[in-house]
Amino acid sequence: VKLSRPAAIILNLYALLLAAFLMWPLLQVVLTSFTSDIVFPPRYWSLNAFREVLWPGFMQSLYFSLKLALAVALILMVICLPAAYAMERRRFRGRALLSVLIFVPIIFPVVIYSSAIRVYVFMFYSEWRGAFWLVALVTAMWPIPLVIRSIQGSLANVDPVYEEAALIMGASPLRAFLKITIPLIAPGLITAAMIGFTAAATTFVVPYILGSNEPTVSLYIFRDVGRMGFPPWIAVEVLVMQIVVLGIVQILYFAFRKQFRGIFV
Amino acid sequence: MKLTAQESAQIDYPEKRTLVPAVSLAQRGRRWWSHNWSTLLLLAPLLLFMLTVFAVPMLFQIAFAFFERELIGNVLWVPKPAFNLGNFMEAFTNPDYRFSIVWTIGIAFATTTANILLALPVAYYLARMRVWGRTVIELSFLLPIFGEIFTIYALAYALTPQGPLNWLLMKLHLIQEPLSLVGTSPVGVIIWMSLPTLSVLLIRSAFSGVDLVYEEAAQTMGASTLRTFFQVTVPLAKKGIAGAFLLVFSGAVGAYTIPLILAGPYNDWLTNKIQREIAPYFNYPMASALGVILTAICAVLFFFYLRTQETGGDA
Repeated sequence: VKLSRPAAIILNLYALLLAAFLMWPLLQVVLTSFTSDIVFPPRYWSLNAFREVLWPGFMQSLYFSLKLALAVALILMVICLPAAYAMERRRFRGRALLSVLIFVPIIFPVVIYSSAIRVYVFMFYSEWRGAFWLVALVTAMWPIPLVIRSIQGSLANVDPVYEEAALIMGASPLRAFLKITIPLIAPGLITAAMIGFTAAATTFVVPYILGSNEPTVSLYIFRDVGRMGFPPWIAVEVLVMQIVVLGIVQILYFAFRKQFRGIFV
Repeated sequence: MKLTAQESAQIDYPEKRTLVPAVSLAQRGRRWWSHNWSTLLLLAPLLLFMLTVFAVPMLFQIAFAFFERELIGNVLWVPKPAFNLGNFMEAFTNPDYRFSIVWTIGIAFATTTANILLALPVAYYLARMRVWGRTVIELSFLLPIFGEIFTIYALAYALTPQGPLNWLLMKLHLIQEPLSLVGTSPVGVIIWMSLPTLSVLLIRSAFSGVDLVYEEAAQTMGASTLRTFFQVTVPLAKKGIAGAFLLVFSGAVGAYTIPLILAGPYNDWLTNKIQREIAPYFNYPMASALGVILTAICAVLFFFYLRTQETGGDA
């Protein structure tokens, strides 16, 4: 399609403006952290806010978040890798239906199923409340479609002939899968695991509703906000969390951009 | 002995009988099993997980919605089986709950419409043109999806009365006094929900699926760019756009964290109301009934989503 030059420039500017609007809150956190001031044209530069954070408790919650994220990534791999393989390589009845059904966790709000779980766990199994494994299991629900789609995307890019060749030469299906297919889709698998990792490391709703025994980092910040409103040092906490969690993802985004695109195509 | 063709047809040869295989149900089941057991094994973790974490709690929720609560010893509210529609009646007659339902759906509809309209030009541009700064733009649409929590806190700083948005509006002399956009007012939430993020990526892939040939044909026949876009490209990418609309809409209906942090804990969103029924009020049956209503809304959305995705197409 031919667009006139001014129209193209306007559209590009619009895209950049939208991007800037989406990025700007994140820049605002950096600004607030390094000025220790919530007024916009900053009046001074200061690192005072860094001193006001209660680091031991905050680091504890950050550690807990990363632990939770790791557990969720592992659970997701166990669930999604075989499912994605079956959905990409096998033909079975109900395959089309299943590929839409995996979107259930995104269409139905997290609040709904986690509060349903809370109600019945608190009533019948009150010793499970806030248990680490319960929080991890429920947190693993939301990223399922994204993870399955991303593994499926990288499987689709791998020609099945390599696996078939291994099978013909006498490898068992499991061996062929582990030795041939897994190495071929490794970058896609890492991306998929990172999606699950990020979603779990930043999760707020599930640990909040299920009353996690230890606070995750987002819960820790939320409690601070509840006590204090929005003083500058909470921006520092958000910034540190962002650097730790999103830093990993941003690096991986640039490293594996191709696989990342596959999710939504 | 010679037989005519007619006589031959009447004789019951064994070979003829085997042409119509008489297979019992058990045999068919066994055959199906031998074909599919490995696929079923591969899918088993997913199906089991979905069943225990989603289906079973949902069934419990539906059952609880028909309960009543009872005060025991003046200290503890305990749900009691009642099997009446009292909670649903309450949800639709109590003006508080009714307003909450209408508010949630109304805001979700308005913001989703704004969201999709804002997304269309960017998505088209990203799908078709050479974009200056593509990486930054794509990354900026991806960030809020995975790091929603950061963006929410960051937004709280950006929208304070002393923050940059108010500063900008004051400098432009659009307002005399700083607006309070976060804390207790829902404006911050509405602004954030209207910004396209996921929808851009979904609609872009829908546009990528539309063959350029159709657009070129329309343009050769003299249609203007705008007309080509609205009469050729958008109708062809209709399914993808509808899918994006439904995903964004369900996200807006089920939004919990954004209203909680940006509009304060006592806001009108249904999700927050459900949580309040659970946490301070211990009214589990009412919370379940409101949950069932929200689930029903999402089930309708899911049904339409199935329809947009199932019948093929480029979405």
